Amino acid sequence: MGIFLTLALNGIVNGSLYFLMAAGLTLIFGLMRVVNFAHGGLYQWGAYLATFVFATTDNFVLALAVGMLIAIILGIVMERGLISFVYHNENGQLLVTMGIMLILTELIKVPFGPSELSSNTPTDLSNSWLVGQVVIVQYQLFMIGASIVVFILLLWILHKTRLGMIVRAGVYNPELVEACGIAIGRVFTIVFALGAGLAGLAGALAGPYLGAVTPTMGFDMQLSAFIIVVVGGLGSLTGSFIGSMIIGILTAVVSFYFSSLAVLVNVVVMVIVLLIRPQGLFGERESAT
Amino acid sequence: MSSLLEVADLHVNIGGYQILQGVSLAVPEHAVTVLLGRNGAGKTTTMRSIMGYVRSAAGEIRWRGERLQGLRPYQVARRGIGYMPEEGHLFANLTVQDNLAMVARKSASYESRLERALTLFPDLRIAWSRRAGTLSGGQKQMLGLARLLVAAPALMLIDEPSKGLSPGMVEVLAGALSVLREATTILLVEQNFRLASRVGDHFSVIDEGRTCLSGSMEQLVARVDWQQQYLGLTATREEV
Repeated sequence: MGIFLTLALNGIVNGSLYFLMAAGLTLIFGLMRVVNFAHGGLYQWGAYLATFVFATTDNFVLALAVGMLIAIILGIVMERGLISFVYHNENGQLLVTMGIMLILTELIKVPFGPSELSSNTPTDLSNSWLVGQVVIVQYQLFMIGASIVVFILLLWILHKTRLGMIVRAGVYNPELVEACGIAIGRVFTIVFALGAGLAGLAGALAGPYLGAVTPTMGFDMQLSAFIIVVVGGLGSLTGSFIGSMIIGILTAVVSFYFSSLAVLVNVVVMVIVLLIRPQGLFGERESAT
Repeated sequence: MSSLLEVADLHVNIGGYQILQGVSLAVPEHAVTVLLGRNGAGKTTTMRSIMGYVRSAAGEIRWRGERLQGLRPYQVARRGIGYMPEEGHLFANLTVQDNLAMVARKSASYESRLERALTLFPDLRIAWSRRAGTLSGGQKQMLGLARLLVAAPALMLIDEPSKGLSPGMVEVLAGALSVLREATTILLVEQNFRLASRVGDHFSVIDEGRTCLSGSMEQLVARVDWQQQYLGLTATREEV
């Protein structure tokens, strides 16, 4: 029983990390329909910069802020410099973002080298408790809390603010949004930056959880995030949250028994969901209206 | 009468085709100008060029004397030009309430304009929380017009609002346009000549991308030969 509870807790923590990554991708891929294969690169840069800042300043809040900020800056440069030119060209998006991903992955090695960088857990979040047969680490609770806060905040922004309404309208009919006197290009830049910032935050939180940051960590995480967004339903934050938890728990359980099958099982889950419900668990069928 | 908007010798090329090859028109203030012409004549392209969705190759579009070319659509809209396109004139994924809220920030004047729109189109009050995509064809047109009414631009560009509507709904639409014209200036694209002649003060006919005829609506109504030659209408106009 203890093992299952431990696996469930680890799965929820994994899911929390996945959600932070998938939430950004939900905004960029799910809502804006930009196939962003550079999302993992933003996560990775957030992870490295946060790890570096925390190692040099011992200020974890500053590290999180820097991790987010670098991803936001990279996101704005990417969106304004390249992606805004391929908004209606999915093949172009694929090529451009894959190219950016490779550049980001290689570029991170220039200041930090090709080896992994160890990442410490902040002392204030290092406590642990034995509850029954399950060891609960304070940092795990912090990650779960962070993902819940982000989930609620994004739901509020998308459904209760004028910005969220414009985003939802702009995704459906960008021309008409412009006819309302709204600069939709700027709105999309803001959304892209927000999505990028969430990837950076996920990276910054991942370092202490994983114990180290590596030049390939973005690729691994990106695949899971895409699976989650598709499983949850394009553009659905709730879908991403639930999908993250499903994939997180599944990964924890399968990794424990058959470590090499974790990715395969996630892909199989995605295929099954798509066969039964092509629009994803919480996605909506697109209407022609 | 002064013109709010003037289009002079407008040329537009799309995908290697010359769509507009000399459109000229003037839109006088506080009047309804109707753009007429057969399918594919270039009426919608003219509207889209004014809004800045389509780049012009030559000619001028002037709004209160200011050249509009080179401005983005949102900049054109901010100058006081509202647009209801033929297709996609609402946000199907948003509620009726949000569709109306999209056009202006909430204020006292917004509330009064909203109340006026809902009085004119009571169906929208009933469908207030419904997604716009679930409305009937007529209700969608009403919502499109209500959006313009709430936005209260100095000029409304309205593209084929009667398309696909039943005769009964066209009557409702005609009443709504009559109310709108009291508040603002309208440039209307309309294939339904009966409706166009009822609400229009002036007209311009576009044929094969060129303006070939302009004048007062009274003149056009009186000239059945023009209607036949430029609009393809039969003498009895039974089909319109």
